[in-house]
Amino acid sequence: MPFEDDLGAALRQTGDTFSTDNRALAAAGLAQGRSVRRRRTVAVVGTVAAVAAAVVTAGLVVPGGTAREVKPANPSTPDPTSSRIDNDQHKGNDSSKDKDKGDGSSDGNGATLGGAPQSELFTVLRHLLPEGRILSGLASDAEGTPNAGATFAQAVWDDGNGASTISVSLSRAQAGQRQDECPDLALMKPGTTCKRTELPGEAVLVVIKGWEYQDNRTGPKDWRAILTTPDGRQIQADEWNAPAQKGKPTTRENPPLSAAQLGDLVLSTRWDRFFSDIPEAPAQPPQPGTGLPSAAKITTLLKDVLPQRLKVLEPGGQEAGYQHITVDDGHGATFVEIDFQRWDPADVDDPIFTKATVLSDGTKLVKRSGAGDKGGAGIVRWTADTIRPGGLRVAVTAFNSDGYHRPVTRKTPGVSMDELVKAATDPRWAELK
Amino acid sequence: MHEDRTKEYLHFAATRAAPLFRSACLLTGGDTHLAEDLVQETLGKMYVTWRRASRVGNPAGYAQTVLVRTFLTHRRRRSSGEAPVGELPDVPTGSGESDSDTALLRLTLLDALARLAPKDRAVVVLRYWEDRSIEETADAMRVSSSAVRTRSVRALAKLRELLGDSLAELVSSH
Repeated sequence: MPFEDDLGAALRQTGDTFSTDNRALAAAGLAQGRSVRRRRTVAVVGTVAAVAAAVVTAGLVVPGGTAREVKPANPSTPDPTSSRIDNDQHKGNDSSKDKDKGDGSSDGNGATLGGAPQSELFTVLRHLLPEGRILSGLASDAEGTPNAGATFAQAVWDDGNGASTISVSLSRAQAGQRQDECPDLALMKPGTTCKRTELPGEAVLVVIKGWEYQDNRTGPKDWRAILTTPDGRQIQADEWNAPAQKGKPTTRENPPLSAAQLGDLVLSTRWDRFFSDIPEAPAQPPQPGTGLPSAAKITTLLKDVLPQRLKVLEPGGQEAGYQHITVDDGHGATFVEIDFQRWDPADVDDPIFTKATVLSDGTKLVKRSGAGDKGGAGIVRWTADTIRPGGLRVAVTAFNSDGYHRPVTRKTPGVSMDELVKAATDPRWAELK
Repeated sequence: MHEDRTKEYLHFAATRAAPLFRSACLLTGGDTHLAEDLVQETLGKMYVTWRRASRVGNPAGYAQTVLVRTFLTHRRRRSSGEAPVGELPDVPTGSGESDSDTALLRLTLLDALARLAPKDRAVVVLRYWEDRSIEETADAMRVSSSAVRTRSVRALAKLRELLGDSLAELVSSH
């Protein structure tokens, strides 16, 4: 065998012997990325709840671990001034029914819940579910540590019509980071619906019926309810029509709980007591002067820097530093999105701009064209991505469709690459406050 | 970051952490602590640029490139010559001849890699661990193809000198 082949084999055999705590490493990478992002004053969007759900979705949480002592659930006392309800009272459940759902070590049929968490949070989740057989479960804190100080619980259960997964996560979020608005449906899989309800006491309930994947991949439906209270408490429940969030075939047409039932679940007052262990969310880093301009300002300027022949059909986007609009030149809709970010000037050499053209003012420009990765057949995406010497990054992208995951509306985007470059390099972006 | 993107990123990070770590261990000549730092930094960079990075054709390959560049940048920052080879982590538990062969191969190979100049080591890892072409290796390292060829020849000669026939014996014993 040639030496090079031996070397390749030796590298593979040696490399494969290294292992580490992937979960911890991924979490550390996330933390570092977030830290860098904050320094770059690119607003961090999302909440601890989202992260907790995402961490589990990503398979970073393992069932089992240190079991917590099982304690009987304290009877909850509904707040007379609250719109929230005690689900057990609401549904007329009694303890005998709860017992049928298992005690954390076995289900109603006597099956062992191998490794199921015995945390109080999991117990409450289990008790709030309708009749069914618990197949497995887990609980963790927001960082994915099993059981200890659990703020996340998940169960795989079968109500007799097919195994499904349901999870609940508790968190606190500062204003501006709360999920108290419907998501940008233009970025979601077509058919996704959202209902936002303002409740007495200024709480907000958002219920989203969508899918796990937002692109064309097949995957289970993901129905979600998020309750946000004025003081920033968030209770989020997700359910899927499959025994896993990813990687397993669906077992039923829809998740088992209706939107109303899912809403009732997050409205239960039985979650309240867990918040005493959840610290207040850290304040958002101060951004005056160095922060990102408002969404409205970005959208207004985006309209100005695009060709005036375009008619704006639909403005959208809620994420700081990211906006999109749908425009039409009379030959079909074009989805245009913009990333507006402030980077540390030292990072303008990022690999993204390795092959950039350097303009006369020092701005680095990269043009990209290709198939959209978020759409169906025939999707074309053109991008003009720029970063200025001071670290201001403006990337403008156009699609030949009217949104992500939508069918094509025309052969190519209705904004040319030259027009995208002109839009991205417009000097007015640097003046935007 | 948008929640769905955060999910997407975390899934990526969780699935790529192990391959990145293995590459990093080879790049560092077995310094697992430095390898973890490099992977952490790489994943952090991927997070910051995730919106764009996730849209490149092969984000996993892109992350490997970021890792190599992070490694080389790290070397420049240290500018203190070779980093000491860290304490080698425990070989996977077990007993028997195959385990001792694995340990011996590992020690031998990592010792040899650690004696290469960092850029030579990067060439070896990219070419023979990641199976990248000369051009791809050059692109990842931001050097010319001819520079990669030069380094590759030099690194292989050095490794032949260090490992000799023992490499073939150790590999064939598996």
